[in-house]
Amino acid sequence: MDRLYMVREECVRFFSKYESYIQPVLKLVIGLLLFYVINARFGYMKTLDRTVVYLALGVSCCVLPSIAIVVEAAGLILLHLYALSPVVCVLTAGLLFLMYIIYYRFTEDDGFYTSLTPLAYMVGIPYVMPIAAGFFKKPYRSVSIVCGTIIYYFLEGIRKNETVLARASSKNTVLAKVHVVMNQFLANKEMFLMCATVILATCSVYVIRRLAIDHAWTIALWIGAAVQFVLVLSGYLFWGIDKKISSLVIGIFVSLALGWGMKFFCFHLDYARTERVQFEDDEYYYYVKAVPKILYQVPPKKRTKTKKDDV
Amino acid sequence: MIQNEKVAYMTKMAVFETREGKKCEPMRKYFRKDYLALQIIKSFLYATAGFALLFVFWCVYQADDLMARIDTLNYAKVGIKIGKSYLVCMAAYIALTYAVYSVRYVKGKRKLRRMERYLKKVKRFYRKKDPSDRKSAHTEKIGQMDEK
Repeated sequence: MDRLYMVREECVRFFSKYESYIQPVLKLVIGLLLFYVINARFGYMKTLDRTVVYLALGVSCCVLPSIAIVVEAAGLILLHLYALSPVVCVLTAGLLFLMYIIYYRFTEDDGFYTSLTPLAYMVGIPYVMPIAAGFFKKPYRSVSIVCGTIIYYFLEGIRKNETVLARASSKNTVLAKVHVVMNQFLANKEMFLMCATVILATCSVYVIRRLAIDHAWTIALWIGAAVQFVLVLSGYLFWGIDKKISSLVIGIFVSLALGWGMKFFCFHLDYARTERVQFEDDEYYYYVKAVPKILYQVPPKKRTKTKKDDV
Repeated sequence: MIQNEKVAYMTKMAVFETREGKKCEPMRKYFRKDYLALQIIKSFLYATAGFALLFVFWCVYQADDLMARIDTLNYAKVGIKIGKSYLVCMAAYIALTYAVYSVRYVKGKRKLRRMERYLKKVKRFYRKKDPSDRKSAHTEKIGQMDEK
């Protein structure tokens, strides 16, 4: 365990030392990953699948604020969908606009969780997002994950129906296309289940990790995972989607591991050394519980003797 | 000579300026009522656009049904229904805007007041410049006068 603490201290030191370099590099990596996935999944406009485009978008993500990743990703998706069908592009733009006026206008959210959520879905670990939001942000950030969830299911629905949507537009096909696109949003029960799960899990993680109990973060992590598992499993069993149960189990276990990693790096306390003190001033009586953090003192590097020292 | 306290205040002000300077700019410019009125007007436009968008989507989605009932439709009743839902949406959106931006204004104003306090302290530091600085400023002034 000491070795792990040492690695953590080294990581924290490394990140704080090179933060100004690491942050743009992380933005670049996330941006490039997101743009690559978008191009790989919705490569309807072939001109966008070029190294120059990737580089230009990635570099601009480094320089601009974090919200640029979301804006550029949205632009890229709209361009691809325009190549598929202008009707689909307009409907998607409408959906994004509604998301903006309902949520993003009122918050100082940088869209980080929204852009990461579809990626997490693609990898099969969307259950880690509510845990992360509950750990580090306020419960309203679950709306950001809900937006990401809606975008993911909506775009997946479009991708599955691309043959219908790619047909040349005529008076009848336009209406049929609108029906297909709108049904991805209105008739997708799994999406609504995931949205409700995200909100419930984020709120439960947030509430439990703020409780003044021992191992609050660990309990919050387990309960967050359990809430998601029970809700999603009951949904799958109810609708008879047996194929996805195995991916749910694996996803929950991987999310638990990632959640434990987050807890380890950001909130690791030594409950064995908890101290309880009581004191008073003129107005109040204080009951204080102080739990020390686990800090590992990195041993100083041994100085090797050189010839110069001997002299 | 570097005055640590002055540098600390100036650093705090610089950090505030880069992180939240733009966000707090409207709180400096407007009174609370004007700020809220501006946001509510914006919200009115956004909500109207959003509702229009939803209405168009709904019309296109229900196009077949609407076309089948185009002769038998009670337009006055439908109009009243749409108007009512528009008013409900608008009221909810404006209430949300009022709540969110009131809190934001109060918080921003508090931060600005803190910054003004820092600024006053920094000004005081400049007034209490140490004698060596004052001397150098004096000699500089004399030099300028001689040049003239």
